[in-house]
Amino acid sequence: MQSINVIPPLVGGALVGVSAGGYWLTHGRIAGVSGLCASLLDPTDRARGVKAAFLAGLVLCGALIASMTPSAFANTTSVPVAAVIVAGVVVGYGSRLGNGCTSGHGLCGTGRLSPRSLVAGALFTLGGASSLLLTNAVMGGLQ
Amino acid sequence: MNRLLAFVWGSLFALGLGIAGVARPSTILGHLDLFGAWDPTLLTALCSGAFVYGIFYHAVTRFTGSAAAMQRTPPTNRKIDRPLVLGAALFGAGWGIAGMCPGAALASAAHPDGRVFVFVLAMCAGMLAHGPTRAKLTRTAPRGGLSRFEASAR
Repeated sequence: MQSINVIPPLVGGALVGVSAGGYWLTHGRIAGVSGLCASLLDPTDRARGVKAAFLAGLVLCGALIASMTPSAFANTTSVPVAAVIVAGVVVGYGSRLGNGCTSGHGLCGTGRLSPRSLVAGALFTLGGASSLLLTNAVMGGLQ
Repeated sequence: MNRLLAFVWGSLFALGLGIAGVARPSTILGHLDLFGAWDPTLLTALCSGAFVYGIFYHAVTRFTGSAAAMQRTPPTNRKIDRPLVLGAALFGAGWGIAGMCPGAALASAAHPDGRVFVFVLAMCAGMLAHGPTRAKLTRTAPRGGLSRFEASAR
């Protein structure tokens, strides 16, 4: 196990919790990013404006922070594009089939102590650990 | 006003991800490296976030009246079914390939390395592919009931 400075993840995590909690307070919705994203792709969804605004904040503020401290965000450089595409399709599909991703299940569902989300969170990690082991074994690691 | 508030919550979400360092694929892959040099960053951030969110969730639900009165939409499904297990395992498998999840990828979508953007496009394609194929995979109706096609086929 690596030893880390726990202050940044504690503070950052709490801010994400305030964000999702605030969205619940003012809009009464679950701040699940995959669900928000899928709603934008669904022309029949009636709350698309609000959901688009949340995602716009996420993308724009992310871009702003990244422009100031590039190391805060994605530092992936060596994963082959083909693997990135496979990963994206599987993540998108799986998040819809399982009704949530790391934010909807991992953060909000865990915070509500939802049994579905606790199971989902464990499966996220088990599934991810398996595919990481597999890619390491087959390709000697993608990173 | 509604949209402005949602924009603020979304911005705060990105700020939190950035400070926590959980938008970095290396952090995610470190979390998934259960049998190696396991990185406790993601679990620390998630516990902190879930704790804060849990307080919000219960306080809001308790002090501002019933969920229905406030037009809130709390998830009510408690069944651990096949779509959930299959979907979560698939999600995890994809998560472990690139170390990216939807929230972190969107927050990093403007990254100069276009791969994050490619990931977001592929993710949207995967989401779009789900609607028409879910019934085949799970033999259950998609959320929101049967499509017209399926209803007429029965």
